[in-house]
Amino acid sequence: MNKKSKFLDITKIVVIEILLFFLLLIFFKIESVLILFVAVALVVLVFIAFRIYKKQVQSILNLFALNRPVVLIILLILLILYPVLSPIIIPRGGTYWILILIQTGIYIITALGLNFQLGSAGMMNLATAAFYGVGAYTAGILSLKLGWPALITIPVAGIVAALAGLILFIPIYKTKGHYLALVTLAFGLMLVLAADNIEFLGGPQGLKNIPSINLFGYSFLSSLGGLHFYTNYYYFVLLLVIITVVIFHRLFNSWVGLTASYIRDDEPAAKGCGINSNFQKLLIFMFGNFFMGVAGAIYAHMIGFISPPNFQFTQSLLIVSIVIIGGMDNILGLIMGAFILVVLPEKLRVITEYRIMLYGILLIATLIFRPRGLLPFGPRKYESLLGFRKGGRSDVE
Amino acid sequence: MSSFAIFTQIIFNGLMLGIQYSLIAVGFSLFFGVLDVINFAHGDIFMLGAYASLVLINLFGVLSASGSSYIFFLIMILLLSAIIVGTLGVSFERIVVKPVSKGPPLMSLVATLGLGIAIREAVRLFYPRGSETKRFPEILSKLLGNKSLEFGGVILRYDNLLIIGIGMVIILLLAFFINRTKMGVTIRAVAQDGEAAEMMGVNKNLIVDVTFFLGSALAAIAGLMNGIYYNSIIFGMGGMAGVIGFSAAVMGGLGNVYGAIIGGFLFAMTESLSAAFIPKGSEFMDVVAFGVVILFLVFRPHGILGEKTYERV
Amino acid sequence: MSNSKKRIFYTENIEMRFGGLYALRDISIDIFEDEILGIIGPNGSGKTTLFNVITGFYKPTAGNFYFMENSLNGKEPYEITERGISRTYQISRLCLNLTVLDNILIGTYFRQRTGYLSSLFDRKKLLKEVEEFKRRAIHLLEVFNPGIIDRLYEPVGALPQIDRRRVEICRAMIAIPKIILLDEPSAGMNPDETDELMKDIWKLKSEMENVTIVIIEHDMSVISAVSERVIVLNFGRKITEGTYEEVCNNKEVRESYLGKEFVYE
Repeated sequence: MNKKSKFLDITKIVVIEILLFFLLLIFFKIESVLILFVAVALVVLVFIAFRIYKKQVQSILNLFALNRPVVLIILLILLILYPVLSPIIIPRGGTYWILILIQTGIYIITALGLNFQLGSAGMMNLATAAFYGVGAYTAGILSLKLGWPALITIPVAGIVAALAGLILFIPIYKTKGHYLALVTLAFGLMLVLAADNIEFLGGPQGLKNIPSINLFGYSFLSSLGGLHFYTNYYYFVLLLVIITVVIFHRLFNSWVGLTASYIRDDEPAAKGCGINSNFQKLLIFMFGNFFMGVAGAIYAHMIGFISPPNFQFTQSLLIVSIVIIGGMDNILGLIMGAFILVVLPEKLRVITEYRIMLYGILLIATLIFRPRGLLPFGPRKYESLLGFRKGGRSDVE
Repeated sequence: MSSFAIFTQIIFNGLMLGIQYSLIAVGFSLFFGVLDVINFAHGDIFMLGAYASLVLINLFGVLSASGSSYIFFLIMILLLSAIIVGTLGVSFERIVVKPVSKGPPLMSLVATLGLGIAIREAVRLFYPRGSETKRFPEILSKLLGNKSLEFGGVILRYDNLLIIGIGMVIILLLAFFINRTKMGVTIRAVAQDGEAAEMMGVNKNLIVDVTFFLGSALAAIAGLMNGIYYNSIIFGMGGMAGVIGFSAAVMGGLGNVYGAIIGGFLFAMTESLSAAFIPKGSEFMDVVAFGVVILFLVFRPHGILGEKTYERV
Repeated sequence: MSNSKKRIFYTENIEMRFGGLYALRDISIDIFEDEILGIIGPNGSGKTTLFNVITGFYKPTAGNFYFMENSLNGKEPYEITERGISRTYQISRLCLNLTVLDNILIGTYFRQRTGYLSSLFDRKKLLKEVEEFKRRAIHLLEVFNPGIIDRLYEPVGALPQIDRRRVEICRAMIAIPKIILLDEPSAGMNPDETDELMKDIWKLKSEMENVTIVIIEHDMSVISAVSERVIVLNFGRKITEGTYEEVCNNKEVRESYLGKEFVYE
């Protein structure tokens, strides 16, 4: 591969990414419903065109796949620039979209935790919102009543959520999958009940005035270089999303991911290979819960106010939908799923009322027609990029 | 209240709830038996029963009738809502449940969950002012007045007693059906070993349809009862009911009809006792009852009447 | 029977009862080091049930069994695999959507030294271990069918039946067990493939010294070709044992397969 064509490739990638980025910004900017529907129609047309021009599309995708370091670096730069460019391009409401993106990021962290349980190991956790809530309430109470700083409350919230998972898991330790579904379902309902009725947790009013994050003296409420204070949370969540993605990417491309896959697809065979599946499932469950708790804690500090209706079953359903529709055991698919299921309804205000019903119908449709999700998962390659393999390719790739 | 009165009240409340829970639980057990699937949409079928009955009541202007024609109307409402919802149940089975039952159990779980959500939201969105609680008329009071049976300090409304009575009759009919009729025995056969039954010449698809019709019809009747008892219904009533019905079926042993009935009453009695004896009991009675379910899962996961199954390796 | 070989596994009066049904009754067998043992019997005679008991999937309702002088009673499947008994299944249990490599590597599970921590923070250590086991997997595949090596990263579901069987056998072998249980490996194979299978079993034996292979089979050509010793089960009981010829001439054995009226003295 000579230097000139490599340079050409990189330029192509940069151009395409910047183009998509600005398309996204414009998408956020459009207010008129009519233009919106035209835009959506255009996207659909583009998809159809893709099916016809398969070859060209394939070559672009190959380009991206072969030059992953470049793709990711450009993406990172664009993501970092977003809060700076957004208020300029979208003077009104730009801040709102930053908040939406932050929320999406928080959901991505939650969904990655669920994905480890559900997508990787086949464990049905219907109480995602409840564990998220456990994290939120833990952070809320620790910071409100004990004055603990966010740097402590956030990981502690994760640990508490993990422990809650442990307690829930013990009675059903040796039983089949649908018992876990039942127990988590019941737990979800119980948590809302408990939060509503226990004074210590604020009752139906919830917890108010939860302090914002304060990082070594720098308050997240302060304006960052003239930008809205949400920007602080944007970069914070962006960093955590990147860390979480790297964590789960590495786990997927390792013995942990392989073990989880085997437990999911054929548990008796896994046992026959020497895997103590019950114990491994417990570990996986707790590990996934940790991230749900962390996400909830971040939410609590950011919004400053939490109450029982925030953590109802419909939120669990959303996260489950992200994992299943986006792609089980597929991080990229999950991120795409998160954008489609969280950002899109925000823009298409018309469908907001029907949002939940659409989640249900989409779930059914996905499971009948495309059970593996949006993106089929690729083969496990232990030597992979985000594992930061040293230069050069493995000979078997 | 004297202890006798408290005791009777607890039993009465337990029976009242138990009938509803049992009728829902039977569906869960049967569906698991014949199709190896947990149908998380079943609770919302219960809800559909309540709403279907309300629609029928208003449609036929039942409240303006009187006397024997009123009784006739009531029976019609019962049968029609059961049939309508039963049919809906079969349609859902054909469209969603059966296609996903062939895949990994995880898929059917989520798919039926999605179905339940879709049904719930459809009612919320398309029923006029669906997000509000709807008042359900006291249709039995018109028949029996507001009179109650009173003895030893206990007050039991006649209309509630009638519900219990009818519920018991339905359960007995169900037991008879499952035990003595050819169709009932066939269903049990398919529930126990679908492949063997098929090899014996049973039309499994037909049995699955009948089972879903039956289970959904029973849940619909429970929905109607719930409406009459509480005088109000809401689009989300199926959520908790479904979880309770599932838990009851699990306690009794998934796949066993008698077990589901026992499980339903067991759950209800636990709730009734907690409401009576635990401070703030009526808010936490679900929690206590679920605690009992958890205990069952720990010590006897296959349920009271369930058989220990061995994993085919 | 070779008395010079060491006995490494034995059962004492194993009973496996399901309700009123006795799947196994009074089973006492020995398994020796470095032998190929065949287990035959009509359908439903309890062969796979025996494997399930040995590997811990079923807990026997009565009786004991020992491996290397240690009792295995009540042990879970993963504990038994760790001690050195691995198996294949009557109906192939592979994860069809995972790669060929993944399906073999999982067999190394209890020999893996890297877990969550290394996967996250010490990738070099993880990759070194992956490389080591991958080399072993490739070596095993070279024994059976080098063609599979080119397809290492394809989903195993894309492979033909016989290659899938080989992958499953490699999975059972890669952790170097002392006993391998093969459950009807020739099921679903045509005569050519069965021939290949028999050669595979010989290759397996030569590849791993001192390994014991216990094989359940319906295809008598396989049994007669590879087994040194045969045990016959019927209705959950052990009828007899011996060499293939001895067992074939046994009256009770012939009756169990052919029916009483067809066996002449």
